[in-house]
Amino acid sequence: MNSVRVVITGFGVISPLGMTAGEMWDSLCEGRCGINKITAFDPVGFDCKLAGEAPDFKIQQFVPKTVRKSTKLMSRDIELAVVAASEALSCAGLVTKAIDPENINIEPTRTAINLGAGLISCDLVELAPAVAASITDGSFDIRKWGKEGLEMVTPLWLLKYLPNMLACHIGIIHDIQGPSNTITCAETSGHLAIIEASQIISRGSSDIALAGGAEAKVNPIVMIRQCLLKRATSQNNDDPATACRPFAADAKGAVFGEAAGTVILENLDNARNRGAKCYAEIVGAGQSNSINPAYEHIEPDGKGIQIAIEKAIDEAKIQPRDLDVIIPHGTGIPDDDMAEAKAIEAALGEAASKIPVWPTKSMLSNTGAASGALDIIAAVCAMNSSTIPAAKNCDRKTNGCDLNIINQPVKKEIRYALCCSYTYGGQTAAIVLKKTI
Amino acid sequence: MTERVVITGMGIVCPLGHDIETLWQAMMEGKSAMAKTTIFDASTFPSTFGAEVKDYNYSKYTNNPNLHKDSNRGSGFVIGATVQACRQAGIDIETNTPADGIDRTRLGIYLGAGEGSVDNDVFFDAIVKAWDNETSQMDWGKWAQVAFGRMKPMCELEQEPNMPAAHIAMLTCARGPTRSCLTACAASTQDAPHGSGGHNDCRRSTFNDTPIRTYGLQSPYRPFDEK
Repeated sequence: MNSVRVVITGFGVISPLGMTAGEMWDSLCEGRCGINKITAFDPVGFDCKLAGEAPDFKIQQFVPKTVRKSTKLMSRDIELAVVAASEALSCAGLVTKAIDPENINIEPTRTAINLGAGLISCDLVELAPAVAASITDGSFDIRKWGKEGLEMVTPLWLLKYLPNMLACHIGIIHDIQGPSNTITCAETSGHLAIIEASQIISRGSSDIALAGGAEAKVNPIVMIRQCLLKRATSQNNDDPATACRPFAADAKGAVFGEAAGTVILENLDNARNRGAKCYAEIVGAGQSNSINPAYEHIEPDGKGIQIAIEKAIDEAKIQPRDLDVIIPHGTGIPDDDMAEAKAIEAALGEAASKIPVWPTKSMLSNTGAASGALDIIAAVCAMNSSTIPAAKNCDRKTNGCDLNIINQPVKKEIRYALCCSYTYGGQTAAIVLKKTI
Repeated sequence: MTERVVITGMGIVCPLGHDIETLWQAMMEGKSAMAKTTIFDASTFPSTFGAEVKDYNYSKYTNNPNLHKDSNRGSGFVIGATVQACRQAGIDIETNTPADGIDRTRLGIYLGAGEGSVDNDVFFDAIVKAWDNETSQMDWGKWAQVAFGRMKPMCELEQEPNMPAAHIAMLTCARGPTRSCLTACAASTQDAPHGSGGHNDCRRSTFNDTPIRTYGLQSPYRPFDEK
């Protein structure tokens, strides 16, 4: 990392474990699982009938009156991101135009936003009447669609479903005028967005950045993709809390969900000058690729993850033994979990079997672009409470996995935490956090 | 930026041509690629024309076409552009033992990419079969039956915006920092500030998108024209 130090001064979450970061953390500590039967649609025909659904909420409560009309063009992904951003800014003590226009304490042009987002699938029920108007002899008729069906689709329909609209809406609501970007690398997006935002601050282009990710995977099209790719578990539909089993010998696949996690990253000097609480520092980041002809999975030896971890540790200028906790990607997909385990072991050597490993998706589900941000925030909470909650659903590790998956809570000082992730398509990332004193 | 960043290779696949020279010649001659849409029947759409990439086959750019057989239209374009750029820059491709002297852990990828094309036949058919317009209800069982029966896993996966970057990684064995961003028309310039900082020596950056889809076509562009 450059000489500019980047710290986390706030965070916000909406997840299957509640409306706030605090609710998520309390639930993780108490071992509560956010995975339940799908309610967002009827999963008839799906082998996996489970998901991690975030609570319902009224988005209007998180958007000032002056721009409340924009909520009509917000997909679920956008709404989740707006909610998490609101908490993060408040947590950091930042006042934006939306919060109190008379007492703004950010410089908009020096405030960046960098979010990870997923491929947002449209609301089929919303589109269906237009499709129904385009039928000839029982089949979809594209000429009728062009002539009649399209007329029934609101002209701004597309804006609800573009991945860059998360950052767009938050930027407009809070008047963020600095660098803005949207990373779309699926399940690694959250980490990559945080890394990019920290680099933007490091090179001096911004003093503050809102970074993280959001994704709403609980809809039929997204879920069917995961089922078709054989990533979703079909087991334990009647016992949702046991369904997602990262690194377990009897793991059968992932459970997917929806969430948003955002952190406030800040130039350390800026944070000190305004008396902000610094929760953790980003001291190392690594990124790489998994290269696999079967690119819906990572390569069996996890090489791309290994390289990312090695780079992050090297940048942090620490030794593997200095790590106090690892939060892996840990999806519950057996081959991918094994590859990640191999990668961690290869990167960390002897230390790998000793460092507590805490996969969170057994309780949070796999929330796609949000998952990396949730793990970073979980790591920050663990650091600041000197507690690593117990991992769930891994009574017996998969054969060959030598990771120290902790089944009981661990009380210890956490100086350094490693979070890592990967995704279909191959992108990988790793971040080392340091506790701020 | 403290480090200076230069361009050492370029490649393009676009409606005016499948390489830089052809594109440049066409632009100098004032050619337009606008023509009637042929990718699908747009005869009743509000806009019936667009600029399509014509007569392009990614397989002529790769020795391993099978490796990329599931690539969607956009990924196919990126394959051609990547190969051209790498050839010009002297980056070896399609080899596990490159002799170009580039440390692959310092060869990154930064791609601006849109979503891949939807499998329209299946997408619309599933809705047609499952929607009851009288009750405004979706029969999810019927929807799932069509979708599971006809959706192709890799076709669905290739709609994810990070898939073109996966193809570039397979071509180049790049193990450096890799990101794919999606900010629509701004995406291809997002990567410019992110190349330096000591994380890459070499980065392949590009943009690909195929926005001509059955959801609708945009209005014709007349940049800065009063009409």
